[in-house]
Formats: sequence, C-alpha cells, structure tokens
Amino acid sequence: MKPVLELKNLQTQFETRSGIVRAVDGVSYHVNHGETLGVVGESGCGKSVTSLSVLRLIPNPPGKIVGGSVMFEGEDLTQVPDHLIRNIRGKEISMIFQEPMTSLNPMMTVGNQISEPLIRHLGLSKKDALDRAREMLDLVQIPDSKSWLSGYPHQMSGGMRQRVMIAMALACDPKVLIADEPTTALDVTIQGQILILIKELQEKLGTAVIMITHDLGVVAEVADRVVVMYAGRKVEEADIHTLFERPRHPYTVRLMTAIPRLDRIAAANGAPERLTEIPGTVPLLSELRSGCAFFDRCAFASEQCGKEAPVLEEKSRGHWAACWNEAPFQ
Amino acid sequence: MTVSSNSDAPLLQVNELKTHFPIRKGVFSRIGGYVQAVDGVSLTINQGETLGLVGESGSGKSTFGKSVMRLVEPTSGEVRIDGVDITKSSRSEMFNHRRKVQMVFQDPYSSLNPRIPVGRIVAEAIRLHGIASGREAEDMVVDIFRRVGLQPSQTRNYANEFSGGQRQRIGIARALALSPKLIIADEPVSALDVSVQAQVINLFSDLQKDLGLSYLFIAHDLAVVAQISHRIAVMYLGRIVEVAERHELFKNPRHPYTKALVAAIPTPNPKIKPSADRALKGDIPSPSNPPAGCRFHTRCPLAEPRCKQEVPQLKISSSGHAVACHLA
Repeated sequence: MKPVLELKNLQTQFETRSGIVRAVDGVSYHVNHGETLGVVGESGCGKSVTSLSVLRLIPNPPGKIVGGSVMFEGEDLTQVPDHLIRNIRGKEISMIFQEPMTSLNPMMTVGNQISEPLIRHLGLSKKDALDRAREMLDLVQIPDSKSWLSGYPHQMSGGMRQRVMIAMALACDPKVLIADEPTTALDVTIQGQILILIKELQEKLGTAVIMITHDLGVVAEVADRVVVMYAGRKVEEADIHTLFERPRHPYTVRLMTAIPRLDRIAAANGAPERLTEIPGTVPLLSELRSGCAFFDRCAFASEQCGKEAPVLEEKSRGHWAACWNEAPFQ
Repeated sequence: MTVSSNSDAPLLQVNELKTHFPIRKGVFSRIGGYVQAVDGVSLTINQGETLGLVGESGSGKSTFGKSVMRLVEPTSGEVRIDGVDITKSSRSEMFNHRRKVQMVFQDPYSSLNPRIPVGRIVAEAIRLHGIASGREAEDMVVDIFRRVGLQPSQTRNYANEFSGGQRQRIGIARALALSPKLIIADEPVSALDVSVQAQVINLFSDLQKDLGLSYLFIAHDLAVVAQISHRIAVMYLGRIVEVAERHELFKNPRHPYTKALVAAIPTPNPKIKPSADRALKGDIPSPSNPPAGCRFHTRCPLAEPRCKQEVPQLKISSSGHAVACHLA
C-alpha cells in the first residue's frame, strides 16, 4: 500500500537563548489510507512539533524545518510555497487540538466557523456552506444542529466543542486528520464518546488518522500502528498488537509497567502491585547528552549507550526499535 | 484489605456537608441562585487509611477537599477531626487543627512561592507553629527532604529549578512538615508526565507505610485512585453515589455511574476492545442547575420515572458497600 503521508528524516529546530533545540531530530513515519497511526510520548518528546511541522505551522522565527521531507501526493510539503500550503491545510490535511475552546473563534458563530473552510477551499456559496455545516453537525451527532448553527462556542460544553472541531476538520473531506491529544482536556465519559466518534467517521470517510497522545490506553483502543517518541526521536515503531505484546525499547517497556492498570487492579485479589518507576525526568532538549537520550534513566544501559546514539533497527518484521540492547519484558 | 481503626472514632468524620456558592447577578449583585458544589456528603476516614474520591469535572470533589480544610467555608454540616467539629472553630482553633490536616495541590508550579528557597517554604510552617526554630528547624527540613527523595543540598534552590515531579515532592514535604495525621491530596499526579507519576504514587504509599498517615486522595483518574486507595467514593454533581472497599467496588460495582466510569477508561491492551455502548450519552449537567431526583437520571441507561422525582438515599449494606440508587 502506498502511504498517504510520509515523513522522512524530518528535522525541526528552535533557536533559544540557551542555544539550538532540536525538537524533532530526524523523525520518519508514514500513515496509510484509512489507517490510524498512534504517536505516543510525554511532554517535550516532539510529537506535537512533528505534526505542526507537517502543516508548516511552526512559528518562524524561532522555529525552522532544517531537514528532511514530508511527502504528500507526490509533493514535498516542506518545499511548497506558502500560498499553496494554505490550500492543503484544512482541505487535504486537517488538525484538531487538545483545547477546543482556544482553537475556536469565540466571536464567530458555530455555523460560520464550519462554513469558512468550505467557502475558502471548495468555493461553496454561503447558503450551501451553511447547509453542509448543518450536515456536519448532524454527522458529529450534535442534537438540534439547526439552532446550533447560530450558537457560539462558549455556550457549548467541552465535549460539544470538540465535536465542532471535528466537524470543521472533516468538512472538506480531508485525506489525513491529525488529532493532537483530542480527548486530554475532556472527562473520561466524554472521552469515550469522542474516540468512538472519530473511529466511526474514519470508517465512513476512509480518512487516515494520526492520533497523538500520552495515554497508552487511548492508543491501544484506536491505533493500528504506533510510533513511540522520546526526546525528539522515534525510539520504537510497531503494529499495535506487537508493541503491547513485546515492546523492545526500554522506555516503552518501562512506560507500560509504570502506569496504574485498572484491569489488573480489578482482577487482583490483594493490594495492587507496586508501580515500576522510571527514575529521573524527561531530559531538557537543550541539554541533551551524546549517546542515547534515555541513557540516564535506563535500567538496561551499557557502556556503548552512553557514547553512541542507537540507530533504528528492524527487530522483527515491521517492528523497529532504537536500542543497542534487548530489554526484557514481563 | 480492611483497615481498622485503633481508636473508636474515625480520624475524619464528615456529616451531611454542604458547600453552596451564591451566583451573583446584575449591578447590585443580587443572589440569583446557588451552585450546589457539595450537597450533603458524609464520609469517614480511619487512621492509616486512604480514601479515594473520584469524579469528573463539576462533581464537587475539589470543593469537598477544600471544605474539609475550611479553605472554603461549608454552608452546613459537620467536619469532625478526632471527634472535634471544626466548622464551628475559631481562627485560633483552626490554626491548631491545621497541624493535623495538610493539603497537597494539583499544580506544583503555582502552589510554591517562586521567590523563596524551597527549604524555607517547608521550614515556614515549622517555625510558624513553634515546633522548632533555627538550626533545629533546618535539621527537620533536611530530614523531610530525604524522606521525600530530595537531596539536603536542594533546600537552597528555588522552585523554578525543579522539574514537575520534584516540585510535587516539595509540595508533599511542606505538607509533612507539621507531622499531620491526614493529608488531603487534590489531583496530586495529574499534572505530571506518565513516567513521573509512578514515582509520586509510590512515594505516597511509602510515606503511609512509614508514618501511618491517612489520605483523602482526590482524582479524576480511576486507575490512579484504584492504585492507592483502600476505599473509594464516587462523586457525581455534588453527591456521593457509591462508596466501597477497592476490591468490592471493582468486583461488584452497583451504581450505573460507577459502572459507566469503569467502562469508559481505555485499557492499555489492544486485545480488549471497548463495547460500543460503553459511552454514556449526553453531557454532565451544570451543578448550578442539577437535575431533580437522582442527579444522574439524565444520563442513566436504566432511569425509571421515580428517578426523576425521588432523591435516592445512600444505603449501606452489611459489607459496608454504600450506594445511592433506587435500582441497585
């Protein structure tokens, strides 16, 4: 299968007072038609900057894409002129963000916000755009869609706003939807609704989805394939089942045993098992050491890890990890 | 596991606590209504026990925690600490009560004064309460720092020099300074990265083992609450809907909301696919205008006509499992 979107060795840097920060340091991944790719990592791992770089939404200065390519329909998006990238944003590739309140315009009605890309990208008349906007509100299951067209975001709950964001993002029938922590600001019972909605719409429309999240539970639920990021790099990639059955990178291994597991606690008879700690904290990108970025926190590190940054190796078919050693799991 | 109390009275006993906030309207700030943030909550915590309080936004779980500290003033009801009702205590009496109950906050960035060294933040309470001063107070601070996994030399640093996880350790150190019996922890790990959460959760467990502390552990994340709590209370729109021992709650959840909450949490196991009907319909209603009868009836898959009118009372079974549902 040919990928819809393919990042090759993407590098994005920021100039800061403490020097150059390599927020994205040679990241490659792709997503296929109708597939959901999960991108997992903690704060500062570069998962969001990577996706912002795809649509060239990195403020320049201080940020800059300094290398690599983003291939979409035979074109390298890092090289496309500014006025043409605007034709891709929201039409071919669209995004939804964590905080739906700050991503919606508080002064604009819901109907006008959803219409805007339709008028801009598809050249619909105002009336046709509003009709389509209403269809979109129905599609994302907002009750009483007609009256909400003239409503404002502040009148809506967090879950409804995220539905509006999804309606806007999918209005032009994009080929790729990038969802950056779309349920993190929502309550769990609402999170469930939104995850189901994204999945249903994807099946209906065949959109490729890149789901960026810190939550391994969310990834397990929605993703077909997963990329794990740490300190600006991809450290592991595998299909969802392989990753959870046999994670290869020590960071992934430890992450899986560091989270409280409700299913295991509920099944156990005694007190819950003590959580495995990952010592230390996520390193500052401005202070990265040579060698492997996880070295200081890794229980399986060898001398080589401190000197040489590990390269991505295919450990089994389609399963890549950047580690010099074998980390045992369970 | 049953944690029995060695004294007769529970360490904390809250009876029918209500905390309502007035909604002011218009130029004369007339009171146009009340947000019933906490509306008749009764809970107990025994010595050495962790009670987890779980709920979504607007459930009133944080307001409950603050009401127990009297950081917000309860409207009615009792908060008994070691048998003494503190809702009627004077300012000077409250000063003494606060030695017994301390709080750890969610955001370790905004809850530490950025302008004084963290050692002094911890020492402040020790001096203020006349527990120790000078060199002795400094030694105590160093002890506490070691206990929470920080270096003695770090007492001289400022809050901005620490990572989120370390800051939360400082927040815990500050709470420990007065050797309290009860710590109220309000979302203490939800601002932390996943890889750091485990460190702080384990620290809470270790401190409890070493010092015999009790916790009121407030969080929205049921998995985190389950990891640390002996008993769990589930709150919805200002009321407790279910309380049970951890084991009992997961083996035999009885309130439809508890069941929905458990089902809503994504499992980090791709083989377990969530059932399509697991998501609750609709949004959480506003606590300023909660539904009549059972407050959950607007989202409840089992609701009957009487749920819309009659308020279900919290009924306790012989096993200590309490549930507020007409149908449970």
